[in-house]
Amino acid sequence: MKNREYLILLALADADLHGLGIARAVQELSDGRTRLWPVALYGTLEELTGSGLIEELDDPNRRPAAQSEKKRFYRLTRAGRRALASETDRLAALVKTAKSRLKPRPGGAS
Amino acid sequence: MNGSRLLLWLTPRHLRDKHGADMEALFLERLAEARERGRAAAWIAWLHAARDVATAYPSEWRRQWRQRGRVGAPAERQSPMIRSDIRYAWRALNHQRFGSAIVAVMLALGIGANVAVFTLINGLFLKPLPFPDADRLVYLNETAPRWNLETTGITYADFAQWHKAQQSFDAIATFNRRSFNVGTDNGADRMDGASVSADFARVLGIEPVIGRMFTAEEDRPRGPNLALIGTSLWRERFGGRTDVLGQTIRLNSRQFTIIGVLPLGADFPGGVRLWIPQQGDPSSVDNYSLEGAGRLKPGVTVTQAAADLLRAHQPIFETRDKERAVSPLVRGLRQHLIGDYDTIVSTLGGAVSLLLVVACANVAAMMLARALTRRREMGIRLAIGASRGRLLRQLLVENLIVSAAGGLVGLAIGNWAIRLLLQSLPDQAPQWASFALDGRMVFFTLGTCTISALLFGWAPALHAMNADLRSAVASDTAGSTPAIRGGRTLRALVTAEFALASLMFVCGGLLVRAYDRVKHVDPGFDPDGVVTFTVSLPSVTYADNKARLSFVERLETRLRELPGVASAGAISCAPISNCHWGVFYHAEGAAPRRADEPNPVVLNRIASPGYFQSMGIRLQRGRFFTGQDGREGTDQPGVMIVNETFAKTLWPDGRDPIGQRVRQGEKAPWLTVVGVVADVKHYGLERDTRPGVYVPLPRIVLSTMSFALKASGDAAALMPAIRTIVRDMDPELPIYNARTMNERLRLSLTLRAAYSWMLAVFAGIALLLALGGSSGVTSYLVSQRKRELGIRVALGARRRDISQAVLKGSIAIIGIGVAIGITGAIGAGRLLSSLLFGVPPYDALILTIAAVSLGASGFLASWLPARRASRVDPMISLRAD
Repeated sequence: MKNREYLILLALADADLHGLGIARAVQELSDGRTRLWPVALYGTLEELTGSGLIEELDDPNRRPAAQSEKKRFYRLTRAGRRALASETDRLAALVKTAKSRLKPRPGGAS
Repeated sequence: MNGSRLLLWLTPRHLRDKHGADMEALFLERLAEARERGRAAAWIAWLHAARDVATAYPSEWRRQWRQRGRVGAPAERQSPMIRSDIRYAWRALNHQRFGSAIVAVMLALGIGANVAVFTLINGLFLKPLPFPDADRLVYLNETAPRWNLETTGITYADFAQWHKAQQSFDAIATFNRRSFNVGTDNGADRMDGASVSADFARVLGIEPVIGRMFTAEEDRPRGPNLALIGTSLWRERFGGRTDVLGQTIRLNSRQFTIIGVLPLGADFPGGVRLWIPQQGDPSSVDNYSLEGAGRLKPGVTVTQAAADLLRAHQPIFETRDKERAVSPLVRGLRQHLIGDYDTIVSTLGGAVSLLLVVACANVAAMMLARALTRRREMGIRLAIGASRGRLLRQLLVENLIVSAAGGLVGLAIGNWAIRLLLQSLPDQAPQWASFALDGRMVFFTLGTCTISALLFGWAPALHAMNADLRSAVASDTAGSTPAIRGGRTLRALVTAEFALASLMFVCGGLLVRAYDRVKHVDPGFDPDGVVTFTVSLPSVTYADNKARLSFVERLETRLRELPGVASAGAISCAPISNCHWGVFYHAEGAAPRRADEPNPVVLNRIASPGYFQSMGIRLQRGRFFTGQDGREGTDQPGVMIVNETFAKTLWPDGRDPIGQRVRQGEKAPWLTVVGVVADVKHYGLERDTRPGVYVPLPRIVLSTMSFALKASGDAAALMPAIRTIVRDMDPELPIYNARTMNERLRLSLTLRAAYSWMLAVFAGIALLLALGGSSGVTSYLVSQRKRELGIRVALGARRRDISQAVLKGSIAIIGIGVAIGITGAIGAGRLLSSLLFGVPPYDALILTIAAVSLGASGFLASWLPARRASRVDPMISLRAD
């Protein structure tokens, strides 16, 4: 899974957000390191929708608007939540391995 | 169309249709947040935006192919199509090899100039500084507008106060560039170094390669003599061995213990090879000589930090500086380093963009003429079933091939030009910037190629699309005179070329004229045959005024005895050598200065009697110093010589300054003015003169003194003899800054010379391109009218009538173009005014030269084809086709 896909899924884990909200949440989650630009963001959202990991909702607070004006909210699907969990497990395992490898070896440098 | 709209318009359709408003909002937000972080960040944000848009296309194409595959058209058929496009385009280009080569060369000139200037922009604005999180680094100083000083330097007392009370920095530190006499086995070298406060490494985010940085404990007055050396010095002197730690190094005849080696990146702001602790004294209140750097806490802006530092500075306003004359100054580090380059680089950037447009207009005209002659081919291909899209794509492929060839050559030209430029400006190129080729530049070149392919490709493509079978096939075969196709577009292109070329011509001319004007500014001294050099006397061996005076006077006498030396003198600070010592003077009997009144700082210099003669400084009133002046002692009343600006500033009523008395402060002894000399352009020919004074040498002798020699012959040839004398007097004293005054003047102008001539060269290229373009277009138009002209000749028109008929049109085009360009140039000249040194943008000479030379050469360029047209033989032209 690409880094930005993971971050987007993570941003949607506890709230349904619209595009701009996702961009801001991703920036916050990554300590300001990942700034998503529009094509990357909406392109990825389309792909994730296509593969069924997230789904679109209409803005619950507003009347329906024109196609491009409509504010779309996104929600994690059940498949998306599963994918997020398994990716997190994979990363956790990786971190664990990395930490054990980075530990200073007993007996000092060779 | 604004920026975010443009970006949006470039994104793939399916995204734009669905998410348009949201995407635009996000573009806006990203660009706005970048603007807040400064100009450089905004530039980078645009690159990010372009990359973002560009990445959309590969996946978009994949998506489209997949969809097409779904409806049934086999996807495999697509890729051989492209290959056949390329093969076909290649055949078409190869068919007109000469024309294609010319087009590629024109593009190469335009792209090359852009690559060269983008290299500068990239190095100065875009490449990250070699420090972690470099965008959080700021430059610190103090400013005193009322003293006529943009920066005063920081006094350690103020820094100590900031250090205690600031809240918005991770760390702040001072640094002070110094140079040292570094002891060697047989004498001493002069080396640039810096004294820095303890947090210096933390601010820059660097760690010693080996050893350690000194601690805050060691950074106290009368702390231990410690030194850190740079990697280059470590390799050169100590062979890169780790046992260098604990060794000693002799600096200014004192022993310093080496405790660490700093990495290459620590060489900041450039040329620094070793560091010692600042060991500043918090009670030192009036020595404004330090500079500072700080690392902002994450998320803090420069403006917030400035406000925070001003708040931290408050106690000083309340006690020591009630007039609020000196206040802290915070600036982004890169912004500080860029300084004057900003306007210059923007000007050059504007110029090369115009040049590229001229080149593209030119290529567009040539391609259009070519496409029009190929319209029969296009018509037939349409007739036998080629789609318009297919033809369009083939034209695009042709254009891309041409512009890629141009881009490749352009990249080579640009790189070569920039290397040449940097080699010719060794002292002007900022040391912190690197101008090596990198990915960003390749990306830029690719982008420029694509943009130019689109820029020059639209006109031919449009006309090709309008081709239809009937007119395309019929017009050439029927006996009638066809309307000249594309004539209006061609004329518009030539008009635009001439407008842009004359605009650049005028701007280049203005800059060259400004350069000439600066070159002829009276420096206030006579540089011919004068050489200057500097010696620093370490306080260990030359403890007091008397020891220093004895050395300086002995050296002066021995220099004067050298064969070929007409006169010699000592000065604390030679003109155009980047030194300054500012003090304040108060005239006797003048009203006390109000708190809000400006108090211009005075350039204080110490000069021996021989200095004025050696430097050729003109006496306006009174007398020069004699050998007796200044021997009375520092606390006794004495004499001084002032410059004209000083006299005008202190006695604005125009009274005779001779005999007037001034002093530095309430308790200081009075100094009587005995002479007034001409203003010397101390800070460079382009800079304003400050009020300045000369105090006779014996009164105060600084530890760093310069010497000026007037030679009767070649001044530079004296240097070996001078070195021998100094080594003979004290083997541990290196001499440095040895330069002739003519060299100093020339070096102070190289940057201006470089950009003025660069712009002139760009203007010349633009003019050549415009001439080539207009000549080509006239030829084409003439060839289209061959039949008509032939009929005219057959009916008895004279040669003159024919040339007139042809010329009339092109002269109108050129006239309109030049008129538009010159009007635009007057506007553009206003934007340049900060570089023009007072040359008005409507300078009559330049405007006349531009109008006449562009008009005349444009006339010539269309006269040749016109003459050829007048020689047309009616029999041949009527039989043609």
